[in-house]
Amino acid sequence: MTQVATQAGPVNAEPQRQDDVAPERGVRGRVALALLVPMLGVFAVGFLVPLGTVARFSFNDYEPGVGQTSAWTVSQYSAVFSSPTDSGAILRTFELGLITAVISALLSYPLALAITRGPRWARTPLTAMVMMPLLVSVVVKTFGWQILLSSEAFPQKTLDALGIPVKLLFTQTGVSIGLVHTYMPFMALSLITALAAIDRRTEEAAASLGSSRWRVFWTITFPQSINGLIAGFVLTFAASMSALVTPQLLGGGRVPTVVTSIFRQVETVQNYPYGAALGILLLAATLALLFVQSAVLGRRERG
Amino acid sequence: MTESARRAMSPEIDPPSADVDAGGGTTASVELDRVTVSYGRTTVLRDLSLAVPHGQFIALLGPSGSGKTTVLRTIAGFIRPDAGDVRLAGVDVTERPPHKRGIGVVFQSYALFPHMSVNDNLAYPLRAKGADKKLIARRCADLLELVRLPHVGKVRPTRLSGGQQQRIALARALAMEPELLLLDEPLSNLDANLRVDVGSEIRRLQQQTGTTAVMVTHDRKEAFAMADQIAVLVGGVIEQIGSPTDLYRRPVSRFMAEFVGDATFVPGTVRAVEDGVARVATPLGELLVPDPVVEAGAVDVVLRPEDIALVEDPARLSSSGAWTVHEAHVDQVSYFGSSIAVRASVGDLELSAVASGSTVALPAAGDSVRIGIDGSRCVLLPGEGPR
Repeated sequence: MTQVATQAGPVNAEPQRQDDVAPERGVRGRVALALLVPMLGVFAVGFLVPLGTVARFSFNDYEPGVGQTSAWTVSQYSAVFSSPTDSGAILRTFELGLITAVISALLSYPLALAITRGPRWARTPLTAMVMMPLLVSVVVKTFGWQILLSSEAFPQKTLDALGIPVKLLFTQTGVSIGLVHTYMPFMALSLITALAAIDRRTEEAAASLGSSRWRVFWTITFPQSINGLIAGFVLTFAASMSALVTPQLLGGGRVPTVVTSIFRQVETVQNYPYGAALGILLLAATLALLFVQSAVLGRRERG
Repeated sequence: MTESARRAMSPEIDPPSADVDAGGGTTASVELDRVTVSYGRTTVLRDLSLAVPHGQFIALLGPSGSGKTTVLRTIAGFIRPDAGDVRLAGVDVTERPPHKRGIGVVFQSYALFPHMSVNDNLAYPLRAKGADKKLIARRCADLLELVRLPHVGKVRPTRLSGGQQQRIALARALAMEPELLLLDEPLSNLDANLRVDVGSEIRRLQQQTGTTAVMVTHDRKEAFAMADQIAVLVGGVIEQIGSPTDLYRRPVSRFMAEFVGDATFVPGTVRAVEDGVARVATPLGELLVPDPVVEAGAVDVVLRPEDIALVEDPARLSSSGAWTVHEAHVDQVSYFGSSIAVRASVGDLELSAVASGSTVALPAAGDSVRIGIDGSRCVLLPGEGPR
């Protein structure tokens, strides 16, 4: 009898200990869920429902003079691809996104290096320089660029005087300049974060192991910053693809992008199904980009 | 030693004596000559000179902010001194950048390259020198063998435990067979029980490869366990340098006596010095202390806990020492198994003593015990005298 009791002791103790822990976790999980409800509500009402509506619209019919009529057709999508203006706009949008991301990366990398590795006194002014474009309204910035890029201002006059046949305002060049200025901070901030997270001792170790500064940078610093570079690339790429104000004001109607086309279809033509189809295509492109990013990052993690 | 471990050892590095004999003089492996380093207005090192003989393991021991890491970083070339010279094997390298110094460095945070496999980490210095692929592969295998982790070559270092990472970092630092190995708090990030293992691993490899090593640590036990010589740094100045025994048995100051271990200071006055033995009058009676340095005057007598014996039978005190026996009151007893620590007082004087855990009659607080003090094992410091 005694033996049975002693044997039962530890066996009983086990589930009891789990009982002590389990409700604790359950409560925590419920509290976490409750705290997420407002956010999830906003997400559902403010994002999923409108997105569903837009997606539905894109399969509707449109008759000039009548407007949107309910249907299930892909005619809007085929119309987009058969319209030279809009299929051109899709390519141009990609091009602008790519140019913005690449130029932002080239400009931001040295800046981020200076902020994270440079002299202490340079840190604050340089960081302020990065943050400043974020604090000024896009509209204000873009009007500023309109003035600066106009044919009477010195940049254009200088180009003309040098005989360089490049026009700035109402061209893809001007739009690119405006996009880089607007979205470069995203690139710079993700590079700063990535470079600051690198253990400086790994760079010192590489130097002590016989690497020149140049080799330390290319074999140690740069590879460890690639995740930040990819994140910044996707952010600036996606943001400039969906930009409206900059291509609208600096393009002056001569540099149509997917978003300016959507704007025109919805505001001027009032062809909602066509605009919706353009919007869904843009979203698909952005999602594809995010998918590629996570695939690349996943491979880097495993590799 | 395995065959590959033997191969991993440097063929170029001669036994220490060979270097000493060369040219008849002794060339220090690394030498700092009146080095001063400041950060802004703060002077971190002041006219610091230090020479480490070839093949020695020296520990730089000091509290945080003492400048010990700055010494290491100056030797490595990460810091350029404001004044003074750094010499490696007699060659001035003060102006030479880190990558041309050929020094192995092991960091507290391991500093393994997280984006490379263990093998690529080990191959890194070899590729920097442009070694050929076959040689690199063989050398990586040898290095892994050397630190007894032969199967981790293909994994990322972040998959390894702290102790394993530090051993890989050590192997990487030894890959180019450096003359000099710098270790910056190499054990601080490790669990207490791993420290002993990795510490003795470092010592084993240092001796096996005949490399000179300079280690920075704030841990006295680490320094005592691993180093041939210990330099104690305080406020950017070397307070004392010597073997662990020197530091413990012949501290140069009250600070040093307390820094390297427990000590009781007994104020006293030197009455006379005869044949290198000082007669010191203290509250514990006259102690006969052999000390060739001290002159007549006020002194502090340094008593180590293990030099105060709990006397069960005065007749059993060894006849070799110069014992004085006192009646003491036990204030506190701490039992550690292998030893017991006793705080006792003789009059106003508080003493801490350590005795073997196998002492038959364990004293208890409030007891009266007899304690014996062997004057021949005491150290004298210039002091304030009787108070």
